[in-house]
Amino acid sequence: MRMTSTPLAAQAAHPPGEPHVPKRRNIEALLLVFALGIALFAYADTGKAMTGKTPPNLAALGAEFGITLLAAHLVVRRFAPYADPVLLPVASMINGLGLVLIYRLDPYNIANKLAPKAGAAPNQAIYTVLGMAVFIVLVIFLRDHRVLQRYAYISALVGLFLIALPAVLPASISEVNGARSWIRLGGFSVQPAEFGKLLLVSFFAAYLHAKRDALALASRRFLGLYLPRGRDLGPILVCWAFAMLILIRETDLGVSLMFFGAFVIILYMATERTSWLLFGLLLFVGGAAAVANMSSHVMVRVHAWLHPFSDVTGQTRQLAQSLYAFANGGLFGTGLGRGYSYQIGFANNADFMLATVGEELGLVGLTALFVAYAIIVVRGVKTALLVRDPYGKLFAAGLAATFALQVFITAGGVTRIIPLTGLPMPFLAYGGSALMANWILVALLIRISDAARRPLPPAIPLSDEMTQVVQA
Amino acid sequence: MNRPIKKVAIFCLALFAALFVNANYIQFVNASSYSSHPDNRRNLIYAFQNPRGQIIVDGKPIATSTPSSGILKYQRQYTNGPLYAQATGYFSVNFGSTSIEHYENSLLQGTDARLATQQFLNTIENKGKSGGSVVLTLNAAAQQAAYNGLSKAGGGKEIEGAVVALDPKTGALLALVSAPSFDPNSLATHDTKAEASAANALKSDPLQPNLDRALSQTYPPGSTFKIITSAAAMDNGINGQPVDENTVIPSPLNVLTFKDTTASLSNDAGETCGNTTLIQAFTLSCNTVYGTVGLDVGGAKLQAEAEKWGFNQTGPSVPMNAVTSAFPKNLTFDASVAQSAIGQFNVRMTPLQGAMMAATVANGGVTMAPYLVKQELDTKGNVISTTEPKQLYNPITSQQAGQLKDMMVSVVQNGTGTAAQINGVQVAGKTGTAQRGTGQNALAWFVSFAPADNPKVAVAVLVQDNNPNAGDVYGGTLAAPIAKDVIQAVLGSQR
Repeated sequence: MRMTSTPLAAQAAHPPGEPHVPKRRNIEALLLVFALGIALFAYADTGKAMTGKTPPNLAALGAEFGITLLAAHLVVRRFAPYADPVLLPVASMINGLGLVLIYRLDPYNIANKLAPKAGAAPNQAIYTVLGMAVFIVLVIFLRDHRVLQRYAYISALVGLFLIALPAVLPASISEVNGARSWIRLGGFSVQPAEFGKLLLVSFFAAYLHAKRDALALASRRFLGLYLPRGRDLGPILVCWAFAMLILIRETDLGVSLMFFGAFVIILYMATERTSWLLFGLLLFVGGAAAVANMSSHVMVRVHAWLHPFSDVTGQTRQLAQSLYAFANGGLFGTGLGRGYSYQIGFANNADFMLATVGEELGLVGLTALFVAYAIIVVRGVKTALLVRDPYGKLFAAGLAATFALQVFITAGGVTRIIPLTGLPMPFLAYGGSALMANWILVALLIRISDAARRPLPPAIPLSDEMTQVVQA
Repeated sequence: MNRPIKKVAIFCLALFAALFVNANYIQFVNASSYSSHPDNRRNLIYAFQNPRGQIIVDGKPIATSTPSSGILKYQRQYTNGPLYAQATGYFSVNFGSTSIEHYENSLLQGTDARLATQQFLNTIENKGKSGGSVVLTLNAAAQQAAYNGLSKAGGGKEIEGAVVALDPKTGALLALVSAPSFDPNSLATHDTKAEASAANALKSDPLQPNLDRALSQTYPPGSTFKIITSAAAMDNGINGQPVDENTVIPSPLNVLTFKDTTASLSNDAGETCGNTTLIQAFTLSCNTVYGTVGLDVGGAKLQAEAEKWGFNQTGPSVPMNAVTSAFPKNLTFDASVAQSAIGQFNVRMTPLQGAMMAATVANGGVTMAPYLVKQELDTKGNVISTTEPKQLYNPITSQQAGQLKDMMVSVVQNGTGTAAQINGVQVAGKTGTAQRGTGQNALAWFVSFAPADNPKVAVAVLVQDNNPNAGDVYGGTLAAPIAKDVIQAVLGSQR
């Protein structure tokens, strides 16, 4: 298999003795066909369940999605040939499933003015193409991820700006359902934090890599823990203060938790000091608890989390409805198009998208989706382990951990592990900015994994001649 | 740097593990408790997912399920809704269900264990689930006659009332009407707003159309109770002498007065009845005579007699539970005993109890348990159960029943109940005109059965005319004609 799938020319390019690295592009192609098949089958099944016949545009949409996937695949084949072969197919599969679920919820959402008149699915289809276009552009033009390291401080500024922007804008522009994490202008809305988080992860990776020695080594040992010096506390305190500001101004626990969590995790990976983790955790929990006591929005969320059935027609309605949906799904689910999760109402196709998966695909389908998310995380971590440069390591691991955090915060919110925070389910939820940001994340991982697995250029052969003393 | 990255990877996988464990918890372990939460509309949606079985009267469906667009796939429809409202009840989206819709729900819904095999086969044949049907004992003609009679009584305005007709030999309910009625379709609509406004209209209507007066309300029985007082006299004798219909009861006064109270007891027109026979006093509904009989029998024995007929017992389930009819316990004052003997004071009965009283006399002293469900059918219309008539009480001997029948025939032939006479059919009956509080019109009662020699139907009619200008209200004038119509309808439909 290995020998037959590798072109002879490529083999010849390797000097003898170099370990042969397979590109695995054909596997990616095969998995993409599989992802396309799952999405189309789900679409046909949903249409049949809801209208009694397969959707008329099945073939057209299938061709469109297929061409998009093919384009992405060809670009990866050409510009990142050593990239991880699993990332793109898994992301595509979740994206496709998300499209189907949005289509599935559309009839209710259109009727209740929760979606545009023509439905949210056509928009999401456009966002999907746009997202993958951004993916393609990034894979083509970002030839080396280390370029980003150079722009660390600009990334930080832009990232902070994007995250903080909704907080300083008037609530009429930025507030949706109590949390101010949006920018809405003329029917167009963006969640800037989705992009901001990527830039900040890049900055954290670059900055903490540079400062890791000071943060790791200059510390005193106390009770088995390395306590950082006072002046080294600066960065974490700044980040903490910023996270608290987000929480207070934007009342967005999700963004705040993800932002600070990403920082602490990268800090830990850079320094390998458990004390930073403990310190960060204490800071966040303490701060969040204090803010929760002040902010009614956060307090309501916490109360709904503790008592989800205390106000089923008011403040705990969505969470209660979400739990009903999961419960109704049981082990195997009602089947696509046969559930009633749309009763969640607002955000049933975004933050609460998972409830539809739980109800219509059951525990089995939900577990499969979790595994798919976990595969992206694991592949990201594997990339981090393989890549050679420390910035790349921190960046890839940071991206993977941020992704895992977002999945956990969102899924945990709608399944009542933690209070609801209002982050969209990655790749699944309706929304252009989140989808685009997630495709950027995958593009970055693809780029770094290509660098990780790409064989080193052959060393310049040493001369056989004796070393000569150069005389001037 | 790889070591901490691996640790972070483990942490991330632990997050996923937590999600997985929790998903098991909410989708499997805790699922049934979430699913049964009253706020969870899925139960309701599933209840409307399959066609519900029919409710059938005289071979014609009066409640059906028709396909509907929207989330709820089937719409419950009631043919002649107001006519059968008390029997069918309603099956509402947001206001639950009542009457047969409620009590036969598992069969109608198709979840009844007896339908399990058939549902399984239906699923295999890809036919989808459906409900079983319920055949009622009601007689369409009798039901219509009762409904029309109550609607037209007293000019049809501000009338409350009830009619219960049953087959005295089996206890099968032939008519069950409460007036005013309501349209169950208004509560079965899937339009939540229309449904809510219909429910509010019912709630705010002073005449309470959704109140089941036939089974769940009690009223003073008035003179109809003289049937039981007569039976008590026959059972116990008076002053050590046996009593039958021809026993002369000395009653020289035109008013009965009592020690220690200003309360008194007189006849309707203030007349004296003189020394009359029991049948004569019964025919003319003489209060002073029956007051005397009650005093002679005594409160304790009167109570014991009433309890043999079903008073102070848990009301029968038809399957709707009738409330308990009451006879006052441990009477001590003479005035209370005498008033109770003519069905006043604290004596209260349901119209159902009134019908059962007449049916007991008609059936030779045996009270059959009243029932509304004749048969239960499976999803294909095959009979899966037929109700067997059951004996409920046996308060009097057949001989006493014969005497009481003679007395009731006399009432219709030459007494207060002549309005119930039917050409060629001997009708037995007893009027009742029960006084209520001051300023309130009396309640008009008529309990009856026919034909006297081979009873096919026993009817109780209660009319409460709230019109302040109604004038004098009598059981003989207001209630007896309705009973006559119902009897004729039953006999006519059986010819």
